[in-house]
Amino acid sequence: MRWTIFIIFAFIMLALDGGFMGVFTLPAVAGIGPNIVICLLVYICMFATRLAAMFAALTLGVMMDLMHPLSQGDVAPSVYVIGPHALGYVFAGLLLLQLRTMVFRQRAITIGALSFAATFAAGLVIIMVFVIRSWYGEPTEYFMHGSPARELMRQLGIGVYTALLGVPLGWVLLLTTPLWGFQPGHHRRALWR
Amino acid sequence: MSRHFNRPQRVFFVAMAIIIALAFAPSRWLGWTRDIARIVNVPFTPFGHAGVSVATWLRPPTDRTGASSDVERSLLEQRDIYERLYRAEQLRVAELEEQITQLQQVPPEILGVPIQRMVASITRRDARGPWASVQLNRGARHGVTVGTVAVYGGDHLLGRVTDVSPLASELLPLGAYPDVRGIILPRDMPAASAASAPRVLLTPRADGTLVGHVEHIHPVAQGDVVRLSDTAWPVSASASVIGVVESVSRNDSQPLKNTIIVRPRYQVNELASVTLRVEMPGGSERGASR
Repeated sequence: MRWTIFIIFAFIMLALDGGFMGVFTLPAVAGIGPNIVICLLVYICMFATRLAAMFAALTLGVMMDLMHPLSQGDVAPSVYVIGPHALGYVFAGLLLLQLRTMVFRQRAITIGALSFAATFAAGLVIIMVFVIRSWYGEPTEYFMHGSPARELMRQLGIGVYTALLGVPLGWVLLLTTPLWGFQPGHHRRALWR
Repeated sequence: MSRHFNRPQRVFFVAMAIIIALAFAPSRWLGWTRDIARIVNVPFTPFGHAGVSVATWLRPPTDRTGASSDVERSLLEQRDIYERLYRAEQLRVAELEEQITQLQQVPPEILGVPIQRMVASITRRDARGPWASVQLNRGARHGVTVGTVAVYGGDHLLGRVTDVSPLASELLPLGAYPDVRGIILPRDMPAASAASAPRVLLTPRADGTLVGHVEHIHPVAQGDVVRLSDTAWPVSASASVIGVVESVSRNDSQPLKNTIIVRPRYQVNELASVTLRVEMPGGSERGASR
């Protein structure tokens, strides 16, 4: 995988996620919105070597953590906890690496369907991290207005929405495959089992 | 060291160990990550700004003022601003009367806090909900301080600044606060006194609305305006519009009270810019400690 291409696509997706994607938010449905960064992760995990996919998941997760501050209350400065998204995305990546042998990778609908699984898997880990943090009194702004179970339901909604958006986005990403320089299948398997 | 770079797996596992440690580290140990986040966010800021502008252009914020033209909207904004000043004076008078009654020393603060209004663009917003903080492109170099109040449409309270860097700041929306106190003013009686208006403690909800309980004897109706009356907030926010009463229902668990749902006219995560009310030096410090 060409890391320069990864950086360019990651930059585009993260910039869109922090700004433009607000246009897709559904305020009436618990404010859910699609997660396009996950779609990129799914695409990479379909074609990259295992190690490259894991590094990509870790990088995207850390970037998401650095772009989503955690409120500590009224006028205390927000804190950036590095880890919840990173661990969530790595877990999602591991899941995708297991699933990719069972699916037709060149289909946009595959990217969409796996985006649902990846969003939910990542959300599960993120919620778990914040639940554990709450045990020793850390702020839990992540589910400020609801329980972890409610947040899990919300992640399901985000997963469905991401899957719907993942189909056209996956189609666009599949068109860019020649740019990425992914290695053929036997190399992919050999680099990291 | 070179052995590590020859074994990318080992690098990955070390990175994972560090990430796991950071994920469960107490917040008081993570102050340094804010500096990293500020640096990381710098290249995204112009693109985020453009993205928010395009998104707002494609999907403008829901206008609940009922104005049909820009002129009417401008007039309504001006009306709201002057009504806020009027209500704030009434609240101030009531507060002073109460203090005099209790023979307390009246602080020398004045209501007419000199305020500089400053438009700040939202450069990053969070889709998690109306309670998630947003980033503004105005910081300490522009005079923004922690606690600076943000409004929209002249008089609609959005939240307060919680973190300031030289060129940017974080705005924590009203929905992120545990509670906020307000007064309810009847829609069809603009001359009603703010001092005698029913008071309510509002608790934000996940959908961006606020819920509160009002004594049954107070006639609260749909469409009534709720304004801020909370000494924990700076004077520059006093009597700003929190929202409009959307529904009034009976509270079965508390038969003497009604439950009201208040909907803010604007949500931070729908907007492209906000107006900051920067208190000029010499202004009141009320609420700064909260």
